[in-house]
Parts: sequence; C-alpha cells; structure tokens
Amino acid sequence: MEKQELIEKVNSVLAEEFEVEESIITPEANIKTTLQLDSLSLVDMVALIESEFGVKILPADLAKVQTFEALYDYLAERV
Amino acid sequence: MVDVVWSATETEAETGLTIASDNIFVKDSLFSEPGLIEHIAQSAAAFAGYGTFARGESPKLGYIGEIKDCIINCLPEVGSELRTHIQLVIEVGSIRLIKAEVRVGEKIAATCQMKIFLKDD
Amino acid sequence: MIDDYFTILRCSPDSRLKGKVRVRLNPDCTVYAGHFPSEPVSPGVCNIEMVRQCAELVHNHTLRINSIKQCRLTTLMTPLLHPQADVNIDMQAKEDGYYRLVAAIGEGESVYLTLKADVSDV
Repeated sequence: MEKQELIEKVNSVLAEEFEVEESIITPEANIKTTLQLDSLSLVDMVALIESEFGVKILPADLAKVQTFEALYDYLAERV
Repeated sequence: MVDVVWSATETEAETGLTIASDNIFVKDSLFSEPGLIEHIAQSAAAFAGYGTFARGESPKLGYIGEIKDCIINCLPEVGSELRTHIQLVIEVGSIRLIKAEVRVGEKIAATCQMKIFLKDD
Repeated sequence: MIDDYFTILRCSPDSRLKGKVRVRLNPDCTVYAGHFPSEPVSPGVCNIEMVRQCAELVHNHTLRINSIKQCRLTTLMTPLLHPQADVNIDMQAKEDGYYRLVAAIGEGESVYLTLKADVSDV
C-alpha cells in the first residue's frame, strides 16, 4: 500500500469509528485529543487498526504513537 | 456463575453453566438479561484467571468497563446448560477486549463484546 | 432475583417515557459477599438491572432488554462511599416496536453508568 493511500484509509476508518470530521485529522494533531479517546475507546482504536491493517500496536509502542504522523509511520513500517 | 471451564488457551476459552433455580438472576423460571451478562463477565474472569494461573501469577480482580453490541435473543430456562465461548480480541494495558457467544444447545442465547479492567495489586 | 439491592427514595416521571428516579444502594445486600469479599463494589450488571427496574417504574410496564448498543461503567460505584444516586431514564419509541432507552446513573459530577439499549414491553 502506498503511503498516501495508507494515510487516507487510516483517516477515513478513524473518522467513521469515532464520529469526527475527517478534516480535523492533521499529521501533527494528537490522536487521543482529536478523537476524544479515553482508556476504553483507545482499546477500540487498537482493535480497529489490527482488524483493518493487520498490525498490532504493542502496548510498549502505544506511548510513542501520539500523533497521526507517528501512527502513519508506525503502520507504514509494518503493513 | 461458571460451573466449568471446558477448555482454555491464551486466546480463547469455553465455559459452562447450568442454571440453578436458586440462582440470584432467575426470575419467573428464566435466567434474566443481567444474569447472562454476568455469566459472560465471569467466564471472561475465569479465562483471565486461567492465563494468570498458567503464568504462575495470582488472579486479579476484574470489573466490567464496557458492554457493546450485546444482543439477547432469548432468556434460558432454569435447568438449561449454557455453553459459552470467549475470545480475547486484544489486550491494551490493563484492559481486555473480549467477544462472547452464549449457546443453549444449538441456539445462540446472547452475543456480546465486553471490556474488562483488570486491577493490579 | 435479588430484591434488596436498592430502595427507591423518589420517582419523578415527566411522562411514561422520561423521568428521574432517586435510589439508595443497600450495603448489606448479599451480592457484596462475593463482589468482592472485603471490597464491596456495586456490580455493573446489578446497576443495569437497577436501570431496567427504574425504567419500568417510569414506564409503568414490564420491560425486556433486547440488546445493549453500549453500556459504559466509567466510575466504580460502591455502596459505602456512594450510597445514593439519580437514575435518569429517557425512552423513545422506535419504528420496530422497540424503545431506544438512553439512561445514566450519576450523582453530582460523577457518572457511574451510561446505557444505550433497545427494550420492549413484555
């Protein structure tokens, strides 16, 4: 998958699941604040990423994946 | 509210419960909705307990954090044998996301997704 | 069925679909012997059952829970520290004959449970 294609897919699945406008998702934005995730919905995000992209974000890595940019990079290395 | 763990691995488990007439969730000879949900939660706890036991750790307290997309098709009668399949979807920190299916014979009584907080102490 | 989990202090229905019920939890209820020994925590499922009974009271009719779209148990509720709470009931009739029930258990700023479920008259 091309990186741009990956970015678009990430944005669209997250926007749909967490009911936000796709336009508020920018590379430097913080994922948790943008999608209004608490500890419970963060689990939904990890499960969704795994089912859509086949990539399991390891708990140790989760702390490092703060922005959308970091998430795209994390997935691009593993998809 | 779990009589038996039929099988358990790191990622799934199969549990059983026969509905006794004196079960606190029985009303008018039927096992009520909260009873089905509690049975799922306790099956998930037994499954988590099996994992900690297998790793030589002591079991943890667990609380239901969220119930999602839970469909209750029927209320099992007293005497029914429930057979419940629990699948671990993902574990993030102290939260486990599981999927559950409760069957009575061939019939699916309930399906559910649940998030469980495991308390470290 | 457990019949000593809570008592109703006040029921203020706005209609047969909407209202607020003030409840008090009973710390001596038998569920706390198991949930958990030496650490009483109000079981989530008992709170769901309490919501159903409060909805039945407002609706003045027995209700069955057919499905739970989402139920979040955001803050632990304990009978000793949080003995009283308000149960908010808001039901809307749907086209399929069910009601969409949106409910919450809370006290002041604390929200212990939020529920979105489909229920029906029995």
